[in-house]
Amino acid sequence: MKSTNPFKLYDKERKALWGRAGVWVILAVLSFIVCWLFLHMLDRYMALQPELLKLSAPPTVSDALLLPLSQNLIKVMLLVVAVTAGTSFSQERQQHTIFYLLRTTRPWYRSLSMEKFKAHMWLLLFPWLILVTSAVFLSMAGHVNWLQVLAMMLALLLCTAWLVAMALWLSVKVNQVGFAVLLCLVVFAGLWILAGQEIMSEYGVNWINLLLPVQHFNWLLEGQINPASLLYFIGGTLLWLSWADYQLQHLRAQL
Amino acid sequence: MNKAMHIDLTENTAPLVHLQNVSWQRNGRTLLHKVELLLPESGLVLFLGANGAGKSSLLKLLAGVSQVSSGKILSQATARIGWMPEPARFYDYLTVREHMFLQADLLALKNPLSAVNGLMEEWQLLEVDDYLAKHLSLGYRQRLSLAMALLGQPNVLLLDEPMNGMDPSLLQQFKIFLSATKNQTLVLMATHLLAEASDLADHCIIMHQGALLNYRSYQESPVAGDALFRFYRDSLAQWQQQEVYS
Repeated sequence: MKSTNPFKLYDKERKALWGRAGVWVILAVLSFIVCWLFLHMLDRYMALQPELLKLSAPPTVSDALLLPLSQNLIKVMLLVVAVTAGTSFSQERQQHTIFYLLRTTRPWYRSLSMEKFKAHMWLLLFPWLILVTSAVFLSMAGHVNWLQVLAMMLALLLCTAWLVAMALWLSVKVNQVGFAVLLCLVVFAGLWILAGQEIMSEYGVNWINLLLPVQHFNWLLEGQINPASLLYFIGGTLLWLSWADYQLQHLRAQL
Repeated sequence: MNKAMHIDLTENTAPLVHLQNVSWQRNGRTLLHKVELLLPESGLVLFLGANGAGKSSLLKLLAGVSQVSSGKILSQATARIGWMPEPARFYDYLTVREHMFLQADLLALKNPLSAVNGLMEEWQLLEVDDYLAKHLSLGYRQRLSLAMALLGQPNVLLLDEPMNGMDPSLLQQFKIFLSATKNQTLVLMATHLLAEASDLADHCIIMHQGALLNYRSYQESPVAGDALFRFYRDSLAQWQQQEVYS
């Protein structure tokens, strides 16, 4: 009779992720910062409310508070993903435990990067929990557009998946944990800074922005769930994961 | 650089593993140089050589974690390789049992529970099954590394300095295990403990500077540790002489 394995690679990855005290410290500090910023936004919104009510179409609670909160949450996730998924393979390389992983032959849906990816997607609980908790509290005082909240959760899911997959690919390339974090942060920050450029925006859509995750993330946040953005995130995630696996196969030539 | 040597241990049977003119360079250093070696389906092949001779590099290549720079490693489709590296590497945050199950998952074993429990019992790992790997003594680390190498019932067993840190009773058990296993498994063992390994060896290959230097078979009669050492010393002396004249 076949028996099931009680401890698989996926379980090992989850243990590696949540067993690190550093991850909990970072999440605690970042939650504090995000919540503090959110309270400031709430304060400002309350102060401006009499003025906003004079407008013909005043911004809703979702637009005025939950949208910027989601934008802050994804920025925070850049750091979280860089120190977790970004170090995943590089730590294995640094500690030479990568040798165990390289000896496996698994189908693509159970590939090394896919298992690591699945385990790291638990990080999504962090932004989701903050967003949903904030939305629930706001719904007690005003009207919250729950469909838009769902769209925000979808945006966070897709963008985090894209970032985790990219971080895994980057981490295969590096054999030092510190450098892996730095590399991920530089790349992520570069993507966000590049997307913030308003140069020539008066001529229409900046096409460079369409190649970056920020634009698609913002569209999804606003509830514009278009096939191009879905394809961008899902296709991009699969692409980064396959590159990570391809890179792993070629790692044998360096070890 | 040494002249390449061709070694065939198969006695006209189909080789289980064939290293075809294998060379391996890393960071400008030659770790293996034109290794031509045909290995049989069973027996214990001992690799002797000074530090840096290329023994561990050869086993690492056979384990499939590194890629040759030139040449080929051909093995039969039936070859299942188990590797005990030196030093043994473990995840600090995993227990002994978790390491075993992780290895079983990586090897995609069909019945991991019985395979893991059987090996943990055989190598007395049950008493430390919930210990973190970082808290294990060297002897237990070796047991764990060996048990992990044996998962998946390999028919090619690569052992790199397996006897380091083993206490006398474990060493005895290990030697009994090897003398039984080598009859149906190909065991490739790199070691410096000649006295302990001599009576187990069916073949002995001397390596030096990444090349195969000499070999001798001991299938007919076992060899003593001091005779093995003389063979090693003479092979090196012979090579040095050739170097002087060439």
